[in-house]
Amino acid sequence: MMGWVRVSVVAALASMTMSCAASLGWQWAEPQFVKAPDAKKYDGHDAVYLLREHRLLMYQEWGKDSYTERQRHDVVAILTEKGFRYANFRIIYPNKNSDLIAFAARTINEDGTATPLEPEWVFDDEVKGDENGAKVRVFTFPNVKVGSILEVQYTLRDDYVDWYEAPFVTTNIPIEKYNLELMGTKSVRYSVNAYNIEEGSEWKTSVDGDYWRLQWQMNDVPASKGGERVEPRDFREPWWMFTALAYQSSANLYEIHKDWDSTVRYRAKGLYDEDGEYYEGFDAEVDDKDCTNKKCQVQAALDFLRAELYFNWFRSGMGRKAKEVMDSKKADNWEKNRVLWELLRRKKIESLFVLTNRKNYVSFDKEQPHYARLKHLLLWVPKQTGIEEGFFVDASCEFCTVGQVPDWARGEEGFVVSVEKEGLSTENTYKGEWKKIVGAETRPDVAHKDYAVTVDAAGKLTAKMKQTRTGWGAQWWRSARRNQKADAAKREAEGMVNRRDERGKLISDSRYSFVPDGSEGERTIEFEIPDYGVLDQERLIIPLSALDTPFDGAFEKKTRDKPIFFGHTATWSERLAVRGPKGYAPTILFPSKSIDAGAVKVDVKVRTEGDVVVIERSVHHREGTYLVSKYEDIRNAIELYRSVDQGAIVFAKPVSEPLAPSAAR
Amino acid sequence: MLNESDVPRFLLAFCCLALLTHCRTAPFSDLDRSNLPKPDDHPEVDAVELVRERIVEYAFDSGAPIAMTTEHRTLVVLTEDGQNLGDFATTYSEFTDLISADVRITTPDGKHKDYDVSKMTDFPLIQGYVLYDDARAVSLDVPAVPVGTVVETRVVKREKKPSYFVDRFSFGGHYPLRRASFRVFEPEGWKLDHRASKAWGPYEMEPRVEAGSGGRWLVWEQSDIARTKHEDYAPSVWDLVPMVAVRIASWVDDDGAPQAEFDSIATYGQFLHRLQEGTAKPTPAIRAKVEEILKDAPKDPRVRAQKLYDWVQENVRYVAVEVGMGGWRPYEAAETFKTRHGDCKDKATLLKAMLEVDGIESYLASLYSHGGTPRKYLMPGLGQSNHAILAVNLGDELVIADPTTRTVPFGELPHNDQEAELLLVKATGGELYPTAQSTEQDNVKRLSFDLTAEASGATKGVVKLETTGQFASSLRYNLVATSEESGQDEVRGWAWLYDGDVKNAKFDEAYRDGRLVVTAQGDVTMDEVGRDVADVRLISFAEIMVTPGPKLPPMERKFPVVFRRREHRDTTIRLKVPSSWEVSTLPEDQVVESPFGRYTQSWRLEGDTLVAHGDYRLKERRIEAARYGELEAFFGEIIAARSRPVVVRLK
Repeated sequence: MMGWVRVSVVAALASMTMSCAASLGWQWAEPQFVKAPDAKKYDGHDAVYLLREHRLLMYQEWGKDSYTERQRHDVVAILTEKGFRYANFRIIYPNKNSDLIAFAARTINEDGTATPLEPEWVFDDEVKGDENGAKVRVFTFPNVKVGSILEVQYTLRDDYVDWYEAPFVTTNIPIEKYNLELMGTKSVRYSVNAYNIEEGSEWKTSVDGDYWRLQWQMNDVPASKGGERVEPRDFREPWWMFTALAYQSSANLYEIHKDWDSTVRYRAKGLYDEDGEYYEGFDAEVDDKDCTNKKCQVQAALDFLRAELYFNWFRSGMGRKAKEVMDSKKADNWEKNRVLWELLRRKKIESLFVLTNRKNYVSFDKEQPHYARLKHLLLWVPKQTGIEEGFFVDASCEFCTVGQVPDWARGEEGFVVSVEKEGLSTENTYKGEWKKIVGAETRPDVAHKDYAVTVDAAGKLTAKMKQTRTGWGAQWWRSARRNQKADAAKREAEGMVNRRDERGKLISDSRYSFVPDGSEGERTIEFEIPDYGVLDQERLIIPLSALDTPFDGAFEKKTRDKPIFFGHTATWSERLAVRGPKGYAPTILFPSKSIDAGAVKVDVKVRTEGDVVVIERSVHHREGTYLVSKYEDIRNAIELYRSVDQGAIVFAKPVSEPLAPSAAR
Repeated sequence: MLNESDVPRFLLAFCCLALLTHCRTAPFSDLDRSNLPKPDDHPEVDAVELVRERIVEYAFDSGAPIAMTTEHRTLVVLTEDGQNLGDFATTYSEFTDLISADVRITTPDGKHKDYDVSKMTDFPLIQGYVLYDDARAVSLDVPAVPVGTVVETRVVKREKKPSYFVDRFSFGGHYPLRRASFRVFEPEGWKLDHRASKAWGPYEMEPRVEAGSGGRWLVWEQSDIARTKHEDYAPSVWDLVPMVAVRIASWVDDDGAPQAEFDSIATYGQFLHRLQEGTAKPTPAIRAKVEEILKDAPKDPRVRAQKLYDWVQENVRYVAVEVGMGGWRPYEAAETFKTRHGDCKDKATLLKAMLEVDGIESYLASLYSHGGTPRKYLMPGLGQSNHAILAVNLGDELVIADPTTRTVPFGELPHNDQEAELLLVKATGGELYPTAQSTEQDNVKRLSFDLTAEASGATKGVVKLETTGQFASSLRYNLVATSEESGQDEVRGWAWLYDGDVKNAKFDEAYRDGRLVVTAQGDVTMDEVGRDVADVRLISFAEIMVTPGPKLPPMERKFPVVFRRREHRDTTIRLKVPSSWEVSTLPEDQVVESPFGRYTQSWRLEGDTLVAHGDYRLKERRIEAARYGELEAFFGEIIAARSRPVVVRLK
């Protein structure tokens, strides 16, 4: 059973010695790795890696050319014809200066003979003109059949040292044997960890002449597989991370990713725009003439960003230049906060960049510093004249007001980076401090639908549905549909009507509208469904299946082997008011009920208001990862929620029995 | 300003090329912003194309015809969604020299920025289904442009083999188009073929003729062309808008002697035949394999051809490599036999070689493999087909066979190949041959459920599936190409159940009356049949399984509705109900008739068993827009019929 196991190796200080430049050799796989696999074991898969080897050699010596060699060695057994896709191979070089210094491929036939790859079936090509350039080698294995074993090994060499690698071990198909070997000159000091691996798995360390060597392996790695409400992949599938802490060059020790200060140094230089390029041509101005204090000015800047830059999702890069961001009228989380920083700076409001992660979305190891592991950005506005107490602000939250922090950041730790000048130095130095991100709660994420339904004596249903969203949901709606054309909006409304009942006809739809602070949006659609009610002798049965629900088909499987993951807290609710035909009255209802399963809380309330039946249901899920043992409770709660749209209400003429919860359900 | 008709454009282009890095200025004139469209004028589109222009100048150069082509396009961005329309790409290949590519981005403030090819990325154009292709593209990614930006592009290419190809120009597209212009220069003594078409049918559009130096210009122009708006189930835009095709019928060489590559479909076929000549030679290894395959085969040539076809289908993996003329000239059969991989023409060529060993004559044939709308050969020339298959001459019949398909049996064709114009490539000349169409009687899917329900609604039983035609090929592919476990999942998918599972599936295939029949049978379990509501249970087709046919929304339709196939789906459900269930209401029998198809449905109570039968037939594959209302009603009535429930009272 895999667990979140972290196996770590940090290099001891090695003595500096001169070394000879080495290169990774290669050889075909040992015979035990080119034998037909047990097909039963891999039923359901199109291919299996019998062997997957990843080798990395880092050479760094004072006065000599540095380089990195990356070697991949794959042995793949083809189990089905759909697995033939593994026979078409592309080697993408990391950049245009990469050299392919070793390459071999062959098909091992079922009878054990090997068919070599002929050179005429190997095609080399390149991308020209691009700043980074790229090269590619394309080939296909010969004589491939179900039962063939394909073997390829290649080594790429780059004229720099690779300071960071963090790949997943898992692939789309299972791996029988995974071997990792990392080597480097003793001048390179490193840290390496593996995550989500078998307990007891260990790194083997050794010294080979002037090189250190790390070896690690896994057996029987299952295929990467997603699923309903599962955690992000780096919380549950094996991966490893290598970082160079420092390297010794002559008498100097150069820190690279030794600690958080050193690793974020270059990113901080960019964020604080040391070279003055990021904000070139940026001329946006915030109208805050009515503000009498700095907090108001910060709020005005947030309002400006909400109006001018639609949010287009979370990313982890440094973003486009500010002018380009403004021209495009959309921005990601980094871009929004970088623009905010400059807007505040121009108002003489100091703010500091905070590197962090969104809650539940990134597996983060504070003990192994690397800036790339901090994927979200926000700002800390420290105490200063006009601001009595510092606060965090995240411009990617469009429904936040000053002082509020969105769920995705609240409670996380952030690395607050400040700029300092040391002594008489003209160069900036960047230092960071971990701080817990705090702030007031925002308006919650609630999606609500309010249905006003009438059913006539012929069973025709007419409904008016008002849909509202608040909090994060409203922000997402606004971003996703900001440019929605009338046609597309109508098609979406039709889709909503027909998703649960194909007979439905859209009568009208309104466009989305939003309150000025972005925290709430709404729209209304009207529809009808002919012959919807079922006439059964003197009764009219109104199924509730036309209710559109976000939990259609959710948690249907009776058992589960992965923890249940809710990325954020949200509420989905509906209120349904059903009026029957004149002269009819509701006769059979189903009972009100609530279940609080921890991760999920469900309420179903049923009552009558005169001749109108009112049903309210809601499901509230709380962010977090929940053990498999909680699955049944969660499933039962969701089942209760869904029981409404799987049920019906019954009207009768004349009123024939007292209104009471039915024992029939 | 130089007059295009006075100085051959290609001379100008060569000058530009030579001076590219020194004196070149962007080939755009000042923009008149006074009459640009505004977003409010076109609320439903992201851009308006102001100009789409293509100029083709044929000339004789270095002993062969060439063509200098200039493409000029100007559009205005009207929405945020259109902000990436500043991005640009154009392709070139062994047959094309890219002379220049220029982009000008003019923002609403009137400032412009120019990009030439030196600022673009040049990359191999390897498309999804092709392993490797030597065609390339240059592209430019520009930052998102503000609304109101005008994007102008101008591309000049030198076509090195224009006599092989058909040049085409479309009048219309996704955006409104203010002015479309196609100008073709016909040198003196040359003869150009041209033909206008719309939706691959005839279209009246004659060119204007203008005098030019050393020849004449043929000019096709249209103004204020409305956009072609996407409609579900409609052909692609390029299968709908008017188009003009032009080719060189003949030219004169330096000595004034007339020359031609091919002047008809017949000679075009001969040209292809020469191109492919010698590739289908059987080798000793191929001969040995044919002998092995046919060792115990009867003498019937159809059976023997089928065996060889089956072998190629099963043993040659589809891999496309297109280098130079490799798009039209197959690898030699020997190579495909050795590597066991190849593309459509390689597989067809290997099969041709194998058939030849057995004395069966066959012809390579090319066609446009379509997604529902067949295309026609407007005139002879390359670039009008995208697929190669084989016509097998069995003496008394010509069997059209597509060995690229993995599971379509010999004698049948996949829907992409049906109703197509097939060009048979023979030494004696090309011949156009229409491929057959399948009917709803060919493509049949029969489902029968034999189920028993418990009082709780939980239901168990058996499902049987029988398929022919395109259903059979498709099911068979899903079974032969995947693992056993995935095959089990297939049956559940084919049963079309909303809820429920199918286990222990068994499959079989056989030929019945010369037709492949693929069958499956499995154990069905359903947590609940129908819907338990209040004190009744509602059971309908709509509750149990997916409805055949689409749900079509009401709309003013402009374009035809096109389905991939005509089909027949027949479903029988026998549901034994428990004694605690009392059938209260049975829906009336339903008959939905239309010119496009028919749906019938019945529910009966036979003792303690509910027996339902639904029979859906789609007889037409293409329905014109004028009849959309009838079609919408047809599918609407089917949906309504399938929603009518049996009401069962729960005792």
